[in-house]
Amino acid sequence: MHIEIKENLEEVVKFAKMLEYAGILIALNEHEINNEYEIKKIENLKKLAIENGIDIIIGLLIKPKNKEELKRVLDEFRKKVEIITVAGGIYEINRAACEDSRVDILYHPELGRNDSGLDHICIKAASENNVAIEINFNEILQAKNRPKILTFMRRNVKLCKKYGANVIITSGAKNKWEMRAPRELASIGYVLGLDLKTAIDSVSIIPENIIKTNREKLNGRLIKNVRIVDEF
Amino acid sequence: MEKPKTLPPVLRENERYIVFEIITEEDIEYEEFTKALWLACLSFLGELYTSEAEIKIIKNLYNPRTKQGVIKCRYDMTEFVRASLALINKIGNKDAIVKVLGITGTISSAKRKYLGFTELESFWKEEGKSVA
Repeated sequence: MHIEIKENLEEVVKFAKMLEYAGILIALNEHEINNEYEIKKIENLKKLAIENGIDIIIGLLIKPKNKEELKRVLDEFRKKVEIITVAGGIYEINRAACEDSRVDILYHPELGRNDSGLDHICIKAASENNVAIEINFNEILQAKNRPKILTFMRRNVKLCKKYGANVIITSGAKNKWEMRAPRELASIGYVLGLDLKTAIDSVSIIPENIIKTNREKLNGRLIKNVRIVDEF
Repeated sequence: MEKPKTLPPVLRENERYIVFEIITEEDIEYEEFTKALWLACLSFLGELYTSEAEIKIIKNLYNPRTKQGVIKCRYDMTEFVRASLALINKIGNKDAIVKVLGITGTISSAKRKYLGFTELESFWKEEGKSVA
């Protein structure tokens, strides 16, 4: 599973098959998700992907300026898209995203900061509301000051382990050369302090479960912890 | 010059062999890859941990046509070497991705499982004859 933004999507699908991915998440913003042209482009891509045995998931990436904007966008889109992600970086938004159960993934909480961006209160709330915290591989790859970012990520991982919040590792690629095989991403998680089993789970089982439950909710098969298993 | 005797098996370090493949659109020489690997390891792990990993790239198993090869390292440092392999994004001005095919305990199993070598004995076994 990984996150990907636009351009030359056919080649990206070929690369994903070569690197043995099971699915790709394409992140769009609010304007693109209402744009019919963009949606049609992805529908065409899905046919190619199914031939190669790769699942394509459409996700919404919110880049809010304050709390109120985040709440407004969540009200509008939660019942339309499969996955909702929030780009962190400001402490106010990081905390608001952790305290809202409608958010699925919080991206790069330490982007452009001089600290880790999350404290014990945030992570406690995140584990209660099932919000996953993300480790972005592209950020490590492109970083000018790599040790600094690694220390902040290490602190987030340590807190997540203590309070039982989910960690997800994604490639965050913006072109095809920034993609890496899932097992390599897991080894980055191991280096940052996760144990090997949870590191492998964070690129396989955890994202799969999020997508599964969200799809069931959208189809109306899962309503407030009651699941329709079979119909007579 | 006289060499020291080889250590008994109990005193030797355990090792693992990482079989890798480079994904690029252009040709890559052996020297270019070694330079990129050492730079990546030194910048990510530092001098201390790189010395602990005891990395060796086996020269006569690198195939420039298929771009596959074998790296030898210590068994408890495989994840660290793997992580630093993931951080390579350019090999001599060319865009590249290093993908790990698998990890084995001996060179011969690395050859048999991933590099497509066949042993002469296997032909005998197919015909049902015992090796003399």
